[in-house]
Amino acid sequence: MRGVVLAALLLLPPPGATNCSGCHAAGSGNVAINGRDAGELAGLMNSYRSGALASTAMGRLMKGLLPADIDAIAAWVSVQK
Amino acid sequence: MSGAPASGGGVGRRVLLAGALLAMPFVARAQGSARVVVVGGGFGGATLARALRTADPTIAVTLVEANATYTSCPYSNEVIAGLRDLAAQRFGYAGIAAAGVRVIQGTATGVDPTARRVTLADGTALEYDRLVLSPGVDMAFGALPGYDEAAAEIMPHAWKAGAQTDLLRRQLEAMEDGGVVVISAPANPYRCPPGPYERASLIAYYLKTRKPKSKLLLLDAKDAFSKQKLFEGGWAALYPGILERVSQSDGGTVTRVNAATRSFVTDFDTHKAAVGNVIPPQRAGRIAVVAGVADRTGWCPIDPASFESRLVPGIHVIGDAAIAGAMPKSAFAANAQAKICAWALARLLTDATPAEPLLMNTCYSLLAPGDGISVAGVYRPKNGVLTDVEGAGGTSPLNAPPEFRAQEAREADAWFQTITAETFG
Repeated sequence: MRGVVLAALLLLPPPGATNCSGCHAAGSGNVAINGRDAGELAGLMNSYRSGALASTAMGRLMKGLLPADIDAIAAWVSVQK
Repeated sequence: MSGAPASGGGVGRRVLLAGALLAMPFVARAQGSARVVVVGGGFGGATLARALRTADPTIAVTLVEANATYTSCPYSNEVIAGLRDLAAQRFGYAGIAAAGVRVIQGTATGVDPTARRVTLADGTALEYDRLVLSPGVDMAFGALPGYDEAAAEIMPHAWKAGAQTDLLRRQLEAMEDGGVVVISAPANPYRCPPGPYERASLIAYYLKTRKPKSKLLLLDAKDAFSKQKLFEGGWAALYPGILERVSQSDGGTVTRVNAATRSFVTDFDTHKAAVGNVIPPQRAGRIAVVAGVADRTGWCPIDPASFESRLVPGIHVIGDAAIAGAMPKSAFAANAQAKICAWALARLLTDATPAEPLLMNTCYSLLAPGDGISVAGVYRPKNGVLTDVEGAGGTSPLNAPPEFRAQEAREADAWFQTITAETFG
């Protein structure tokens, strides 16, 4: 049982991470993100943030995050199912 | 979702708890004892119930919802305009029960915050360690003279999806070509800030394509509104001569309605409608008032990290009923707040401190089928209030090419599919 608690604490979502599933939950009509490589996800998020990648809403949202937020969120999303 | 077995939360749990208390007091406190009751199974409450089972599968979660199925307000403007069936708006609770949530169809009528007990209309009493209220809005009947529940059967608000949505649609279908449709929009705050303007757009689309001699008049108690430049640009391009808006400064505030004559009274005029849609002032759902978590504004002040009421400890308020600073009253916001609140509850119930929250919102509106616009926001607490992060968020670009608008409309569809699947399973 204590293992369950420990695992839950390790998987505690970092600030901002739980927003993603509002558009990108598993099986959604939008691009699926859960379980993808953390580096790839962070790279995409940073590109939306800088505008290097064109987007509709993603650029506007990513501008509200710091690079450290993006790394933490990408790491968490990469281990979600 | 977690693969944890369903917990009935009843006798079995109490037996288990009693055994655990004798044998392993530490584990019992940390694991088995927490009970959370959630009132309201919309985008806030239903999301929270499932998210809580993910955040900590040991918590016994009970969801109390008055209706057997939920009827979604997002996309209900398409139903009114004849572009979508009301059946596509309905979602059941089987997916939430399958996640191990005890789902009770009933109406919460009483809250005792000291005994930590919720009472239902049928007399059922539910004890809780933490209570979450996600009651949405009630129409503030009486706040607009002449507008009560009986008047709403003649001049529908259609601001809670279901029979009211269907009524407004049927009235539009029955209207003779050449009629004037009048919509009144309230002052802030209210559910779905861009909603009246999307509704005006899609009804104007219906009139343009089906009843082209008709007109739509939007009487507004505000000067400024959500995505204003995008809507106004869209109306000028798509609905010239069909859709007219009267702002507050120009006398748009409706001070009284008369259902018998389907009339809207403003300071300067009386507008008689063939079809009248009154979007009235609103307030937090009744159970929030009963529980003592609503303040004099009719809405519920909360702590932004946990969504715990600032007025009554142990009760959390999410979704449209909450005063969430810069966050609008939207389904996306309710869903996002529910997940923050779920993780905060998992922390609080193990005596840990909730994490610093960072919330987002995205709201899509349609100017016409396949023609979408959006507004987005990112929010962090500042002096205890959820505040817009500077430099982030904002609306779609003005004068975006049609491909961009079409892409936003597709994303709106995908969002609806996602949010309903995430909320209801």
